[in-house]
Amino acid sequence: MLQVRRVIHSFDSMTVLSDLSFDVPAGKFVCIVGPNGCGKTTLLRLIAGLARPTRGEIVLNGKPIQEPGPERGFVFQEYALFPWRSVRKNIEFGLEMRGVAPLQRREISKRYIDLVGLRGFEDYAIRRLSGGMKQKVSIARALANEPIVILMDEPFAALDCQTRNVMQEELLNIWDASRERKTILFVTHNVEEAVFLADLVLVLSHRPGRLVEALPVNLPRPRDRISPELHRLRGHILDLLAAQMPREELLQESCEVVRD
Amino acid sequence: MAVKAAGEGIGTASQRVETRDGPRVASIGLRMLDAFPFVTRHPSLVTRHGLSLLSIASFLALWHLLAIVIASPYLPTPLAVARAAIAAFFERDFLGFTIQQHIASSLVRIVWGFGLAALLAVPLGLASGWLRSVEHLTGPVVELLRPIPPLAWIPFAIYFFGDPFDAVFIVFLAAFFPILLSTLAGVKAVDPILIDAARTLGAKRLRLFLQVVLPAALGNIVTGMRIGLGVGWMCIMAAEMVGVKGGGLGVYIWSMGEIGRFDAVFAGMAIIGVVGIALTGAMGWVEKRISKA
Ligand SMILES: Nc1ncnc2c1ncn2[C@@H]1O[C@H](COP(=O)(O)OP(=O)(O)O)[C@@H](O)[C@H]1O
Ligand SMILES: [Mg+2]
Repeated sequence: MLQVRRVIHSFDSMTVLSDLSFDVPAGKFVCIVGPNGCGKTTLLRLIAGLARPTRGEIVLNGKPIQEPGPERGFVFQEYALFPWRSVRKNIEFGLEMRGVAPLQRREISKRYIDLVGLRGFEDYAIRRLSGGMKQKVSIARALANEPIVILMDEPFAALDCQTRNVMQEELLNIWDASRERKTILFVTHNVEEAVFLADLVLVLSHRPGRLVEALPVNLPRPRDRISPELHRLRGHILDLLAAQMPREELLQESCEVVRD
Repeated sequence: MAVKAAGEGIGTASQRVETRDGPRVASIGLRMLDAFPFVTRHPSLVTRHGLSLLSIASFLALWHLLAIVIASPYLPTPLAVARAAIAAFFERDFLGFTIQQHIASSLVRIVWGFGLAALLAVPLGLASGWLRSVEHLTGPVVELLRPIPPLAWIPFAIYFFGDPFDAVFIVFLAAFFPILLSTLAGVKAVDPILIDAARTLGAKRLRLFLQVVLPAALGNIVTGMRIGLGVGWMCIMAAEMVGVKGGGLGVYIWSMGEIGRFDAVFAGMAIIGVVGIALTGAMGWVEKRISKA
């Protein structure tokens, strides 16, 4: 169980998250959607322990989060792979840090390389991989540490539509295949992606981010992307998001379009 | 007078060192050749080597022609220079050295000076890039000393250290700051997202430094070393010309100039260039290997 309790976060004088609270039961796939700059990345960084909230606390299985820990994996939007390491060596990084012996490291990395479908690419340099493959390495690297919570920050945003759909399905397969169900917090601003993936969609408000609504998606998987239920949910979330957009910003954006 | 000549020495050395960038220069040259329909944009290897040969041959021919037309005792023909170069390997000059001994003297100085500089500047650069307190502690002194050209230290070095440490000291100074600043910049330029990623994977301070900061900064460190080596090579020539004792290529070309043997001066210049290319070329090779990895 992951609990976010009355979290407030400010950078200098700007409040990014204001009084955010929600609980995520273990093993759930949660998608977080919200307008740009509403603090989604900040929220994931707080849960990861990369930063401490200005106020409030985040508790995982009864323990307040103080710093990064191997039980929380992070998949960055920018992949954040180590370019001087091969695919395998990237995936083994966390194991190395935890002092796992080389032979065992090999065995574990092999398992995750197979899981994400990168067999044959073990010794590739990162720069030789496509975007989708890079994100697979990043996912495998996070998984190899056997985290119980995986934080994913718009992991598929940079991928083309086809690759993104395939990656979504593969992510669900990986999630399904893991021994005990992992909790996933998946940030996206693609609403279609959110309703396709999630057990629960958290809609955040415009900055400073608050929770507008928590929508359960109780549909069996595999889901049909064009089913009327998903379509209805999508419409509802889009309405919520549109209501979040402050008037000035709408005007500003239309001006930008004209200028372009 | 001596100082002015030292300045010229630097210019010569730098031009020589820059020929390391041969391929890039050549590619610009080829682009200009677009005007000629028989020269394709991406010439075959044979054409490329042919063009290089043509370039060098015309340079030598032009030089020869100029030398004959001007007929100055200070501008020998390329043939005379080649003859002097070969002779220098087999005969002792009036100082009692063969050219091999001069090369060895200069190399020993650069190896010691550069080695000490790298040994000190890399750890210092890493430490001040990673630890704010070290940067604040060393930064002001570095900024105070850095603007003083290494060559300005020559009088002090010659009287204070004497042979052979005077020249080693000058090379040390010349190489130290480029390596330090490049290393520092390398650490500062490490993508913070990589550090975040490593932290979420369980890396703590020392591991973070050794496994992320160091490899990420390695390219910059080696670049700093290549630049430091090049600057060191220029400065050693100048220092040797101004009054460092015990042989050296700078001593050689200066002494040969004083007795009017300009064929030997040019031969010495060519050798300085070749050795400089070999030195920075070796570093450049390491650099490429690292940036590819
Ligand atoms: N380290 C930081 N320092 C100052 N401001 C920041 C920092 N990180 C993010 N912000 C600001 O906080 C706001 C929320 O950022 P972020 O969490 O990245 O939003 P999102 O991921 O939802 O688009 C943005 O306005 C951003 O400019
Ligand atoms: Mg973001």
